[in-house]
Amino acid sequence: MKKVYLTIVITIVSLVLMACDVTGGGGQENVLRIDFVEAGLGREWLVQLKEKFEAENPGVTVKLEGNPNMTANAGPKIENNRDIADIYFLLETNWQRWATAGYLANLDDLYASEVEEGLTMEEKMVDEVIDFGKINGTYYAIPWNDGVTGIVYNAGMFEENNWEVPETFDELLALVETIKEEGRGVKPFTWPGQYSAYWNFVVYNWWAQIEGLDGMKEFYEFGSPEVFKQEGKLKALQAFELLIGDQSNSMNGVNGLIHTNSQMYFINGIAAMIPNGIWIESEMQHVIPEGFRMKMMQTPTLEGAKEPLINNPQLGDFIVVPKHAKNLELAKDFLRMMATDEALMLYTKLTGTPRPFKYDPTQIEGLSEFVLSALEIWKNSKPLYAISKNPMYFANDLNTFPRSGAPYGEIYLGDTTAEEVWQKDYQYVVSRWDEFLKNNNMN
Amino acid sequence: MNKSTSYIKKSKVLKNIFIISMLALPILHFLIFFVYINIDTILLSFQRFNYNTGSYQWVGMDNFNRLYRDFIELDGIKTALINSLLLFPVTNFITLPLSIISAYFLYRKVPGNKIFRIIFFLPSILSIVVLTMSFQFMLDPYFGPGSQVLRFFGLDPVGGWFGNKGTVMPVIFIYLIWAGIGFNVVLLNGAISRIPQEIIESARLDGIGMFKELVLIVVPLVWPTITTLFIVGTTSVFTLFLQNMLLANGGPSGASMTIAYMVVEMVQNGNLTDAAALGTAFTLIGVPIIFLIKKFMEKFGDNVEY
Repeated sequence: MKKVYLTIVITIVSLVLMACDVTGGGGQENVLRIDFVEAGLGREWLVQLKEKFEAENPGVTVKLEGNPNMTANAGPKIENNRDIADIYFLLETNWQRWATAGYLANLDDLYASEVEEGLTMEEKMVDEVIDFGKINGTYYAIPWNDGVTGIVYNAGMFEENNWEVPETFDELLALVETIKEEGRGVKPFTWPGQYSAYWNFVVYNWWAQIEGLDGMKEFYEFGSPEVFKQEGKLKALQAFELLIGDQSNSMNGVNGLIHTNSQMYFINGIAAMIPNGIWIESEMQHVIPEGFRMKMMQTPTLEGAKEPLINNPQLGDFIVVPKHAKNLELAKDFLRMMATDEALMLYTKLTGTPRPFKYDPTQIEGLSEFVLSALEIWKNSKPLYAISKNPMYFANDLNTFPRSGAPYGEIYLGDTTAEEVWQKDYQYVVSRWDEFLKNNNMN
Repeated sequence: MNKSTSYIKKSKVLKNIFIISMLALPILHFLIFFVYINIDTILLSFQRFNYNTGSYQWVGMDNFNRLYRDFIELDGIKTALINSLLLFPVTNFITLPLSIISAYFLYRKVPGNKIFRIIFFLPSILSIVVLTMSFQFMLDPYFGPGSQVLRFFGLDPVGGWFGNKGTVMPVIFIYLIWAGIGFNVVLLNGAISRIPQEIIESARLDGIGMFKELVLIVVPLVWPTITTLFIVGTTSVFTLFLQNMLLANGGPSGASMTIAYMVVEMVQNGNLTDAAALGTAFTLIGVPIIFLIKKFMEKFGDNVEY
């Protein structure tokens, strides 16, 4: 009987100690653990980079752990220094809080180190994103994906019906009418109403066309409430209202769709166009019907555009190294390797997605017609990186539509107008400006 | 004598060690995941993260004042509160009575009870993700059989059933009733089958009908289970979010938000302090209400033992 009690007590004590993990941290020497969001991009790119890194670093093993919810899972681990990986590849979230609270490794030396002969990581990066990972003067993060977003169209359907790809907004409006007349039931647009922010991919481009990149930079600095009176924002929303406020331009029931459903309707020819990004092909690769062809169009230009060729890459996904990572230097070596031309080309080849570094992915052989069309836009457009370094932005006090979020569904349903959204956002920010300053110790 | 006293002592010590070791884990779990988390949340609701210093700072009632201002000036919290409050009648005055009736019919083995048993129980054994997906598919604007039938009767809301502000919550309520009945029926069925057979038989010998048997015998005898389900149903007012999230993502434009979903969304956005304030505020409102309901339910019916 004594032995039974003893066994029970030992088991419980062991369980408690295991749960507490008094040593903290995690990981083994020379085993580089990478935790990543395994979603639309899959894992093959990381498997191949792992093999390349292991071949270049004998005695080092790279261990991969991926799941779609990694962004949510990583936070508590990083903040509690429990079971941490050496590198995290995560989707957009508030990493700035982790950085300022001291949970992340300082990457200044990585940015300053050479990734290729005579070229530092900082120099290799696209100029506009160099500050992405910086907070309070120190680098803590590296941007993961660059992107190309805009309007994706059914190339086969367009060719079959001799529909021309529109270059201006007026041409887009005319095309929409043509599709309704000649499309034999095909609707011009489908889009995911449950994630209506997909329209940001188009509306932000219009806004930046009118304001120019300097105007957008000024907006995201959030220097005063007056930036919410930018004319470009109003004009972009009015263009959306003209296009999508007319409910006959979208398929029935569109406001209740999730992204995968709307993409299914698109690839099955129920609608001719969809606001989306370069990832759509890899996301839908297993269900794309044979013979289906799609391309991305350069966002049609609004009248009065200062910068007609804009791409909104939706920068936000990031890479970080925890401060207490067991293999800090190995982690930096891996990230340095990822910034070489060879690794960048491999990444784009396997994911169909560029990274925000200076290289030419259009030279990669074997890319699909769709990815090539998107990469041409990436190459030829000015990138709109909606990055804000204002604490009011990190603290969720301010964002592009601060009053009640993306307004596209409301405009589609006719519950509000573009002008109302524009006015109310401005009034909201004016009325709360002092509170925001106080909240963020900026007064 | 001495030997026997020492044996009793020793056995008492061993018994105590056994009890302590068995209780250690649940107590530890309670202390960490209830006491610590709740105290931490309450403290967090009076703080705000400072991005210059990288630490939390005390801000007094600022987070609560801001919530109050949002509640007065914006539609978001108001809509979420109304949706959450509507869960109370839906779960307690629609789902629960339907569950009692269903459980009774299954108990009485009405014709077709085996099929109904599957229909009622299936939602309780399937994953909520599968359930919500199949429900969504049923009302898919193009392929959904449910949408097609409703369209035949002229019902085709703009934006779709999950994309229209007027239809999204009623549709979610229908889902909650459909999926909720199964869970309740499992518990109620267990309770009804424990009613002593002689009571039922004696009533039947007196010529009691099905309605009277349900209302005058079954319901009073399973009242403790009904009370439990009523309280669980009431807590859903403050905790339900997953169904709304999976079915409509809180949309369109926040029309299917609940208070719990707002808290979850704030946490996902890294806005922990506002989430803590919202959670604390509604806990302060919710806990007394739930205790009052519990007291009321206990007074209303007897605590039956058989």
